[in-house]
Amino acid sequence: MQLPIINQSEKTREYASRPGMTRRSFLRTGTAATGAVAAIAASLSPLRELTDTDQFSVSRFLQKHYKEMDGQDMAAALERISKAVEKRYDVRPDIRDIKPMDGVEFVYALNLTRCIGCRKCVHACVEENNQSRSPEIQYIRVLEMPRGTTDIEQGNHHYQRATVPSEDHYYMPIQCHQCANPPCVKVCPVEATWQDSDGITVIDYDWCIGCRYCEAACPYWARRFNFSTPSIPKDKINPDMSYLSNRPRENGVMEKCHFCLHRTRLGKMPACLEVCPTGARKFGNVLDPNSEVRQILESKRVFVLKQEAGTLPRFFYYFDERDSTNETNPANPANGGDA
Amino acid sequence: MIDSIKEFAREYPRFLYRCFRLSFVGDWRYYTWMFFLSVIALFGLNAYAKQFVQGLITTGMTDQVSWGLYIANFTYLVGIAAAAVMLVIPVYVYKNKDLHNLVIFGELLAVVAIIMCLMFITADLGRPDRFLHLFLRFNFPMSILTWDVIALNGYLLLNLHICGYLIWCAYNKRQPTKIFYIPFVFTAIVWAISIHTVTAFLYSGLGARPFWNSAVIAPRFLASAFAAGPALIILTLQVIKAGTGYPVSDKAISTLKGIITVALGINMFLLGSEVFTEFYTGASHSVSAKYLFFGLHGYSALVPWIWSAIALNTFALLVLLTPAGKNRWLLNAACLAMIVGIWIEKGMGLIVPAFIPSPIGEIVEYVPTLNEVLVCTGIWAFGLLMYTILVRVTIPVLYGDLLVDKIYHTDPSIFETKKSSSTQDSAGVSPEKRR
Amino acid sequence: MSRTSKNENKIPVAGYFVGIGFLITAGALILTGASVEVPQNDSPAVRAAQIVPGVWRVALSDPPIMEINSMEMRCNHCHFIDMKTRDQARVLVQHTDIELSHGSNDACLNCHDSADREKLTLRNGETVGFDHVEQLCAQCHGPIYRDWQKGIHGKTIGYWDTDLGPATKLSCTECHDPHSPAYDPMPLLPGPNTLRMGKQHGALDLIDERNPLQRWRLKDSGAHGSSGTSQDGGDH
Repeated sequence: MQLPIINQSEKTREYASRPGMTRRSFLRTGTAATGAVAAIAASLSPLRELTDTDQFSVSRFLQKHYKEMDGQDMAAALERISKAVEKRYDVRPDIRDIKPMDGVEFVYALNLTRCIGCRKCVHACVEENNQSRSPEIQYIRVLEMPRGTTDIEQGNHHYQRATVPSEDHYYMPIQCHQCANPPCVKVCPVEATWQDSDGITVIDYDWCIGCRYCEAACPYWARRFNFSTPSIPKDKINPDMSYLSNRPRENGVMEKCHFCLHRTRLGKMPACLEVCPTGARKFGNVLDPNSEVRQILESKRVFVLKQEAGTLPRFFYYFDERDSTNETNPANPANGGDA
Repeated sequence: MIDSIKEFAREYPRFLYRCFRLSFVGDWRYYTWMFFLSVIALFGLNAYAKQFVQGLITTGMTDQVSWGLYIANFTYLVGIAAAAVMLVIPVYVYKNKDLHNLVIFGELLAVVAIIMCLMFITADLGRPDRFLHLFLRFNFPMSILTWDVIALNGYLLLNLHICGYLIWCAYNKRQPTKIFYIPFVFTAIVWAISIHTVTAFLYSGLGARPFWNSAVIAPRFLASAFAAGPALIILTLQVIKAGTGYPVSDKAISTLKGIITVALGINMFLLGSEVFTEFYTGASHSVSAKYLFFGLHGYSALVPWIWSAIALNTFALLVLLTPAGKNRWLLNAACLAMIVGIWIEKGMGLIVPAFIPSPIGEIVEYVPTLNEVLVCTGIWAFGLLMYTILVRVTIPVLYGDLLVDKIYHTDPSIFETKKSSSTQDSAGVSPEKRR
Repeated sequence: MSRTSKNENKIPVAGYFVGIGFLITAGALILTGASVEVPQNDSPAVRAAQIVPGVWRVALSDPPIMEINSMEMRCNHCHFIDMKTRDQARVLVQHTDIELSHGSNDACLNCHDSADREKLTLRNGETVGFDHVEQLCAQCHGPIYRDWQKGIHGKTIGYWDTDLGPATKLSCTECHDPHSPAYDPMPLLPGPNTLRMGKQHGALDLIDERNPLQRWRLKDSGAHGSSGTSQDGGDH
């Protein structure tokens, strides 16, 4: 279909109220346009505060997903991260990419009879994993549970006492349960989080888009979001880092407990276990029949939190089979030896 | 064939340019309205720029309540977008004559609502600069969020095509070729149901949140969407009629009124079923519902919200069910009441309480910050701005004032009532004959 | 016609108004500042000494060496004669700093060998060194000893994978003071302080009707607990 074309002079006149008033129309259009440009520029002016340009560099933009990186890519990424950390914290980190070991599946077991709720694990974890002090991010939350219930909704997260334990309570630390059927992995739209062969669910902090769907999906409230650029005192930086675990995070990404994989994948115990004063925390390779955790699963009455959620946690709780009501009473002679 | 492509390549940019120019033409009311919206949108942009630099710490969200106003508005607007089918189904399936010339406004509303949804999602992202990662590692079909990405963008494209094609045809004084849009219309009908179902599955698929983990969420979403969406369209059509004189028949309004009455009734029924199940059982899973409706351990920030939502919806239902609904002002009041009521019910009443208490029993309440509210109002203002422009350029095309071979003589009184006789003369295709 | 001319006059003016309006908006936007104030946390007051990993308590080595007046002394430097038999009441002249609180196990020579104070005595008359203290403890605490052998009770630090490094299994006295084995209550580290937490329960317990124990205790105490909270402590 051939359409008649409007000639040029008609076109220019199309929206003019009256022909021949171009100067006035130019002036008023100019005023409006100048005002609009000024207003848009003013509204975008906070972007000048964007100082951490490393976050938006080209090499950063082109960095691949963790699983698609070859050795060279990883080396380049680690070098870039090292430089960024050094620039920001004046510490040259020893940062590596540590792969899971073959024939290893990690399991954690926690003895609720022994935990006294001192929160040493919480703060040791913060120091080990370069967690933000402001806004505060902690992977472990210790609940003070009243006797008579195992319903975690009755736990107190904010107990403050002169000393612990309180006679009337027991204590339940909760952290990432490293589920075998992790809902957080399922929901991630960009595969920024996945479960490694040793059972640790990890996050590629450079891939996460920060939608926080995983945070909504986790029944154990194990995931944390960096609501702003984390702040860590320079003298508190732990330079022993790995790509998937404790390297300093950036604004707008998720993080979570990773069983200290930069330690545990090298055979060491996690930091929360090392600091526990009562030996309530047990960690190891469940595929090794002689490991402590395997012994616990074989001989203790263990349970997991929210089994009905179907997440198959690798974090087990157990009590010692004893009269636990007398246990914290120093006046009880039977208490003397066993506590 | 080559010629027609050439012609399209030449004419289509000109069409867009003319629409662009036309969007700056109007009377003083138009300028005031657009200026007002632009200022609010600019404040929103400014607030978002601050959020982009400082992070989501500028919002009221926390690790405990990790989704707030952004996701609430997103959910609501998905419903508004889906509600366009409540105009499309009567017209294309039941051949309703009254709504026939109005359906385009529903589809345009869907386009705008989806764009607003995408803006709200972007505002909620911690790292919007990494959105390309979606294309590189797309966790489909495991993540329901990827389903939603497909559903929303697909729906946007479908509606853009349908609206764009029909307007383009009217602009070129052509009868639209059925094969180019009827299949898309029917796809869009199914797709509209799916966008809201998938959005509901985002929430109901999470075992960690018992408050959401309920099969009734998806039907509830649809019912509330089909109530709030057409209610918004009723108000919009009256504004369009008052502003441009575009013919909106009373029968069209009453058809829509019938739809919202049924939908609101179903929505209230489903809410009642939910409340019964939560509270009669008395299981500990109902703590979030308890917090929402009655408060928990002295925390009760959401209680006034949900009860005012219930009051608004009840008022709307009473007006709609009784002869009072015949009064246009009462009907409009009812529409407004249910638009607000359902917004509260879906935002403060459905998204936020699922996070309180947290899965391990901590109660942290959520209060949006000023910056967060500014971003939200900015997106709403921008959405209204888009919708105004779309309506503003669509109506002259439908009237035949803006055609490929016709100069649009600037009559700044575009918002003044037109005489329909003159319209019919100048237009090759009248709005009524268009389909 | 008059309507048209009226509008024609208004349209050009609108351009100026809009332009000036946008300039005012720009000024207002600049005035809102470049950033918004956001909540800040103070770093929690945790001293490095409070979270030292590893061994909790220094146990005596074998043979034990004590420092007295800056001289290194071994037990038998003083205890060269068997001075007491075990059925005699314990009247201490030395070691008054040791507080014995080990239940019914209340005599020194239940554990310390009367003939050789650098050894520990077992029920069967044999002696073991301080480095095998678990054999002594096991005599009374059988189930705990069994658990400890499997690594269930107690604490193993260092490496979980002994191919890669040493695992150190702490002995009984590296956690427990043998004279007063129960753990003393200890100070706790600061609790969470997430952004915008609002007021929290602190040390108060919520009386939750879903907790049967709390409900029954309320009945015991005369059901005065309608206030909803009760101070934790030994009043039950």
